[in-house]
Amino acid sequence: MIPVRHASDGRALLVVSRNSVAFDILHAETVSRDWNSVLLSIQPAFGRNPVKARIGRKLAFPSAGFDVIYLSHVLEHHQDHQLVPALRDMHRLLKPGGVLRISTPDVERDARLYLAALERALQNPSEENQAAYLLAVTRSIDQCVRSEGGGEMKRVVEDRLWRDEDLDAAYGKALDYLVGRGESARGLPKRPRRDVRDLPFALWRGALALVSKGHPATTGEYDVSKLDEFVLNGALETAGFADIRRCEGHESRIRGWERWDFDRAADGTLLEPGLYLEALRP
Amino acid sequence: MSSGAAETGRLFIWAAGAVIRTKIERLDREWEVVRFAPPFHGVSGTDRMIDAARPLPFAGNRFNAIYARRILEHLAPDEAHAFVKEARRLLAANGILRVSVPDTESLARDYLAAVERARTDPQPHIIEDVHAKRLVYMDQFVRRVPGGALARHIVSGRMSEESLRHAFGDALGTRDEAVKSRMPPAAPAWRQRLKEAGRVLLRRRWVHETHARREAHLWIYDRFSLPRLLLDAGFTDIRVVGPDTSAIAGWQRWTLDVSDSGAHPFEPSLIVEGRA
Repeated sequence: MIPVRHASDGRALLVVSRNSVAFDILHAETVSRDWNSVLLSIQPAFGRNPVKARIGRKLAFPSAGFDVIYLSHVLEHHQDHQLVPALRDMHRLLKPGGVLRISTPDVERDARLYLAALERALQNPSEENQAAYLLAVTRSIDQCVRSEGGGEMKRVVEDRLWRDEDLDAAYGKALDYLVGRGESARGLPKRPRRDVRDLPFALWRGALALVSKGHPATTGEYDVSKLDEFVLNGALETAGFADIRRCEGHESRIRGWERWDFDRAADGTLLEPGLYLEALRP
Repeated sequence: MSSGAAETGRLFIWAAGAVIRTKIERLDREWEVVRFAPPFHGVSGTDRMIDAARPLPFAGNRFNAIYARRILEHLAPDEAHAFVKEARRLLAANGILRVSVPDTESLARDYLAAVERARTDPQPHIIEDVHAKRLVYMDQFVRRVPGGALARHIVSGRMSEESLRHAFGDALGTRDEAVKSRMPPAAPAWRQRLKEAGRVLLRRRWVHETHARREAHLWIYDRFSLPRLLLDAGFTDIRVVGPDTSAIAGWQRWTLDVSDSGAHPFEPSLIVEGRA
């Protein structure tokens, strides 16, 4: 069992993510001060700083130990049959009355984005409208179909034919570090120093990347399910959650959320558009 | 390396489905029939296979008509581009290329319409319909197990006769036949994992089983992108056509895209034709 760390106000907070850019680099300091952090991987994962775990496995924390859990952009990397078991495990980890927050891409939003971009490209196939169309298409499927890191998305984004508002509509500010836009113009901040005990994991990941040539199937960038409000509501109810509410971006029922708000970009907008939900463990 | 069969001037390339076989039998000696490999299910020993992701094994200027039925969505964007170019090479002057793909635009609209219905009237069967429409729209992009969540949904009997017909036309057969198919596993089986691991050793890269079998869909096509794909390969006179219309002479005779049992398409698709 991994011991639970408590924040200064006595609460136990847990963030589960896959994207090491957000929680391993951008928020590394805040997270390591107040939160317990788990990085999920599709490969066998080990190491303690932050805790690594494999998708589909139970997290090795004691039951009913947490007041808050944030599943940040990880459910889309769970296959269909892994969704309810993963939520059941979160139910087990939460104290009664605890809050589960979820963020994930939203099929419904992506479908609307795609249809709107298609209409515009049909009416006026200007360079910008074509770029907006490609952004919408890559937003919908590229993370499921690519055969190399970044895929078509990276190509479209780096072609820079898009208008700022179209990139925002598709990806928010999440790709700013790729295009050197806004706060990320100077590149990513330096990765905090690794724990020497994580060296074996780093070596294993390096070997895997070498063998697979960085194929997305081994890096875990693939989205393997496409979720919307309806399927997530159903899965949360099945897993025993209650009082499920959709939140608009920065809203939260987590006390003091504005202090952290991991979903906020530097300019105050949403870092990544998508589906944000919260539910309570009764 | 064309076979000994008489040269017909027409080439039909198909990918999958048991029911389409009944139609293909009717093509008899009027079309050369080849199947897109690697195959993903229901392969028979007599199927002539080609790999649409590689140069096609035919001499140039050989055909007056090529119909690539439901092929392009199984190719990556660059492969699709090369395939259409290959088709252009095989066609004689004024030859017709006909391509059909899933109509992603309609699938997205159907899904969003179901979402709207569920928002105003959230009854269980209406929410069930949202799940079905979401799977029809997106499951073939995300599945990691042959059949995926969509096949499980169909076999579980949760889709009505009407919604099955709306999504698949006659391509899955009757509802009874569709529901009686074998239930695909929810999680990858050991056999699948071994095959995937073997592929890593042989090809030094991981390829999901659903991708290796060319079952997964790899790109979205619609009224905007499909005509453009043909335009980029040098086709002219490009138009979106219906299942019973074609610039291919005698098209109505083969009833390839229309149902034999009603006034609906055999399988709802977006169909585009271009002239070489």
